Amino acid sequence: MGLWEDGDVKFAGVVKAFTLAMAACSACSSRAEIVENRSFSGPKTTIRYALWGGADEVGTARLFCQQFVKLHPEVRLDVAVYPWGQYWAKLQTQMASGLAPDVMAFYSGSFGEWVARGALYPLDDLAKQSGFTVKDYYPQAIENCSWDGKLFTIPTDIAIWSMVYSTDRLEESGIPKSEWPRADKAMTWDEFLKLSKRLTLRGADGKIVQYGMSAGQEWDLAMCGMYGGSFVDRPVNPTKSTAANNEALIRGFTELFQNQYADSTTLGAAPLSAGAFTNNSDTILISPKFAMGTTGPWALRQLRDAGVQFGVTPMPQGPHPHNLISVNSAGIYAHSKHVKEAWEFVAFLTSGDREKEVGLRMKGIPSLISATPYLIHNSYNIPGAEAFLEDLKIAEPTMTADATAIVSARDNWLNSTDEAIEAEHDARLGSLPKTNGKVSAADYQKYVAAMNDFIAKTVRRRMPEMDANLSKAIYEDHLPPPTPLVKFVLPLLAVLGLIGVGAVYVRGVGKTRQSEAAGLEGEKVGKTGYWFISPWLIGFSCFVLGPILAAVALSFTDWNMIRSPHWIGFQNYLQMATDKNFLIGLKVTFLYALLVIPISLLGGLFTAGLLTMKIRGTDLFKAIIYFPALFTGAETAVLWTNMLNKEHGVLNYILSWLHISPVDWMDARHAFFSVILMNVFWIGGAMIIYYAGMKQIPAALYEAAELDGATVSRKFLSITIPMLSPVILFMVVMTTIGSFQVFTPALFFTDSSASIGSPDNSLRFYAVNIYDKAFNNLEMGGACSYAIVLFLIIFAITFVQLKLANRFVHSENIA
Amino acid sequence: MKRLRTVPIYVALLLVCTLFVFPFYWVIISALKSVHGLDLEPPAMYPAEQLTVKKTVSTANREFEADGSDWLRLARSDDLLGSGKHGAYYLHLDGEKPSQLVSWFGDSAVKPVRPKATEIKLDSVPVHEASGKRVAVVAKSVRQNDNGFDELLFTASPQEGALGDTQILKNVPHQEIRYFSAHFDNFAKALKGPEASIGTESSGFLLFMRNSLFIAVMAVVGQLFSSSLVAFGFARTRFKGRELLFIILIATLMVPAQVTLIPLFTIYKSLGWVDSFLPLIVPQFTAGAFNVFLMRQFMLGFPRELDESAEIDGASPWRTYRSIIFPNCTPVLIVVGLFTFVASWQDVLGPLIYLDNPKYRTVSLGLEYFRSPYVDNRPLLMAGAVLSMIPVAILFLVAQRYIMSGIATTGMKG
Repeated sequence: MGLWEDGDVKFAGVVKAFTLAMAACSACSSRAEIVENRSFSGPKTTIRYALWGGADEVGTARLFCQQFVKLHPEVRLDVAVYPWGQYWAKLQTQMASGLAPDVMAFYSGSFGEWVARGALYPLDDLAKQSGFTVKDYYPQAIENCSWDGKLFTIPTDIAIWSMVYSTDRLEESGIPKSEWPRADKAMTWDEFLKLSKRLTLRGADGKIVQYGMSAGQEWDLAMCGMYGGSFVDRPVNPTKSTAANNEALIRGFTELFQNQYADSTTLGAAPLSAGAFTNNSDTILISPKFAMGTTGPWALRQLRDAGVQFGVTPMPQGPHPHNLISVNSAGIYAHSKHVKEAWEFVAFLTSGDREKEVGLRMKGIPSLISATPYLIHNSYNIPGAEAFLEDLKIAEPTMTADATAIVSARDNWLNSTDEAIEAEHDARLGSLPKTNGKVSAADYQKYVAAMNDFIAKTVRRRMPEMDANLSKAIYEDHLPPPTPLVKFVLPLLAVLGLIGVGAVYVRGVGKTRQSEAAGLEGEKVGKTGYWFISPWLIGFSCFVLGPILAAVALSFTDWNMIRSPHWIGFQNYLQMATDKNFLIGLKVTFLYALLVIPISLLGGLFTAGLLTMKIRGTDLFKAIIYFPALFTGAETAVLWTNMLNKEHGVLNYILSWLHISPVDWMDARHAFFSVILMNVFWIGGAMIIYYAGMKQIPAALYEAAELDGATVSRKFLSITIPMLSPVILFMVVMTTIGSFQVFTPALFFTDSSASIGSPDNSLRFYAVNIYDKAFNNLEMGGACSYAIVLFLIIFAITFVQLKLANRFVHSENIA
Repeated sequence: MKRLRTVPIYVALLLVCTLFVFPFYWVIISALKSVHGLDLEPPAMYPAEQLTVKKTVSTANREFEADGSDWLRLARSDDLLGSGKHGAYYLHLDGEKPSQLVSWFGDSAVKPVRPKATEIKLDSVPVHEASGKRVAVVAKSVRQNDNGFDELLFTASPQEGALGDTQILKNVPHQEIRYFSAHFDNFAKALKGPEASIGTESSGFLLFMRNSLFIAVMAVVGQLFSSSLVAFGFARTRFKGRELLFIILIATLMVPAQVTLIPLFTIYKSLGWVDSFLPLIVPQFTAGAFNVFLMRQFMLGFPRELDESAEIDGASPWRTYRSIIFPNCTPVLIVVGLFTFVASWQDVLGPLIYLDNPKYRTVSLGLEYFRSPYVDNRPLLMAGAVLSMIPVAILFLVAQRYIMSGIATTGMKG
């Protein structure tokens, strides 16, 4: 114990100061924003309420809560508003730890997963007791809040997309007012196509200068049903895929794609984000390049504030009128301790006065039927909201299932089909013969015919794949219980195998490291060392080893963080082997590592090499090259999405000087390379380490070589590289480990955590799968199995690298 | 001769540096732009605004047409479209705000009505340069013809004042005029916090900065203290199983954060640490593997005699660590400190999962709140991003002299 006795005052002071700080920060851990009625001093129940949104929602939530506590002074509300991208992960972890809010906001798309996993409290009895009438609400909205005939949430507002057109663009094209689309009546599909064609303008060079229509959010999903086709037997909790041989669906998709990619004068092959800095297709009309688009009530105020003159009309109708709603709702946590008060609050949130606010503020369509007039006579005096109500009449609930895989099977098919057709469109259009930059009308017609044909065949050929994916997802959601082999034998073998591999690894690496101990022979073996490494020993067992063992155990269960886990043995691992995302994740990650390792290696060596030349200002150059490597977080995402934007981004502007036409750096084909490009800016980290290494190489070696007349490159290859090889090995190993765990760049180009890895899985790094499983699919057991496999992969690769290095790396000690 | 040889090196370095500085230049000028300035096409390479002029329209001798909305006559037209018809161009008025829209009506379609106001103010009429002259573009109109489209510009004198009759320019190349205008108030607004931009109370960006700073400083203190202790243990003392423990330490670098995320959350929750800074600070006092590695390499560089002589003088290992090794580790301490600070400052996942109370929001979390579907907050988002970079930049500038020596002496030798 003598070790600690002579710790002097200075150190004791530091320790004391930080113990105090610790105490201070645990003491001030009061809850989130509290709204309460201060005039009431009796006992109070605290209800925690969580919702997603921005600053605007904070204001509304505060207002509603203040109104509530005025009526219910015995309740204290604890309100937390999270940005959409943070909300679901937050709910997830809070439920896992039993800290879930009593009242939570939900949206219909993910409603199924949460309810199926037992997160929500059934509301039927509460509703009956308090005289709450479900019939007062729009039936589709109620359908989207119910599961197996039971009500689980109460709708607060309905989101629906209708069409919006710029009256300015219509005026300019000389379309008489009598022919403009109307708010109270949908155009027919043919009327729409005609109008859209007329509004698509080409410049003298044949390039489109104004798009008739930008097919925005939900457009494909709403319009593919125009001939009556649908993906599954029922939108809420589907039990069967209906995509196979579904002629109506095939026809709907064929027409949609043909109008977008063949004769692109109708839907103008415009990427959804074109023109909109924020990637928000709801407000695309702010750009004068678009005549029509899709939008919801919430975006109209922003359109008007931006000075856009617009009209709203229902979605065009095919033979089978069809649209989709999604529903925002409020529900109660299944294990809430204050169900009665929580119900009062939910009922309050969806009552007449609140629904009136939804309408007046145009947040969506009020779900309470009697509040609808407030949307039409909203406080911004924006006309045209009737269109949304017209669409609501024919709208279906949004698809919601108990496994995200079912919904994403549909979405992934849609994305990849779209991608394939777009690639063909670009290739064919690009190879058309041109005279003076113009394509002849005959050639263009031929192209349109061929493209129409290609699209029809592609959709038909790919439809069985959609059916297979949907069926597989639905099947896997109702798997039979695992066999004893899967349940017990395989896990046992796996654990034994792991221990064996661990032992081999430790021995293998141990051998390569023995030399290192050599320099320290004189030391006495004692126990003092354990005291010094005790901080790490404690941290390792509490924060690393313990959690890892827990993760291994959890990977053999079906834990969803809400219900207690069941042992399912090796099932998660077996499922992983057939999971497409697993392979995609591996592919994307390996490709990323294969590109990033050389970039960091060559870029770092090159810049470090330049800096070791005898020049002035090395310090400044070094600082500048290293600086960007410090910024890899959220602020960098803001910066890069700004620079890479297709329309307003500076990168495309600079490329335009070289006559390169605008590239959508954030679409499925380029997003991955944009991330690689970012890595070029992060070579500073490697540079500084190589530079430090190069500076350590004895100058005598170079002088000797110079006497022999060696050139710069010769010296670099024969002296610098071999002498630097231990450092290179160290950096390659570190970069490998880092790039296999890469995750954050996937967040940069996705604005919601629900679609992480998009566009079209191009950024679905392996670690994204883990996050996706854990926080979007609520499959903690599955997520753990993915994580363990990643750990093993990294281990294996590093092991091989170190083994190979024994042969090539110069010198006696390996860092 | 020698000087000439270095020219290509300077050129290459300058190119690389320009490339690397550019993103920072870009984010700073973006933070100084207005919403309108951000939307200029092509993008402005400096904080720019479009030149506009104020115009007033006397309604005394103007014609209007009313059909739910008002139209103000701009100019009479003589068969510009080749349709053989005569009429006039009208500017669409929405209340008293004019749109940029111009419409042509035949003579018979005009139904003059009595104007509501005697004067209409046009607040920001863009000034363009067309054929070498500056003109105020009151409105423009695009009409389809057989070969594409015609563009009509309705122009007036570029001076402030009354709007007389407008002149029509057909298919004349024109370009808006930009001038330098930096909105430093973006930073002031961003500092007030995301909620302030829509008029509700806000905790303010400075609070986020203070939270992030507190966490990061505690993390640095924790890492410097614990990692140096552990590194000393591995570098300068000998105990059974040292090599094996060190391999395990290095192996923890390979553990993906996702593996331990959920079990850790459960642990912190059972300790009652969730929604406090403790989960972000306490683990930092248990030594990071990479930091231990760096420090150990550094400490291996000290001659063995150093410890031995101290031992002969009767110093305990603790005293050797405190008075001899630790004080001589400054370069590597600075490197580890910087790395730790940056990692902690930029961490999103940790604060996202462990912090709830708006009072505890860190910069990386708070930045996200500037995004809103209802208000165009882009300049504030940019300003927030710049503000969040400042502490890291300052720290780097202060520490950068030591970084090289810190890394150079961690055994990264050739």
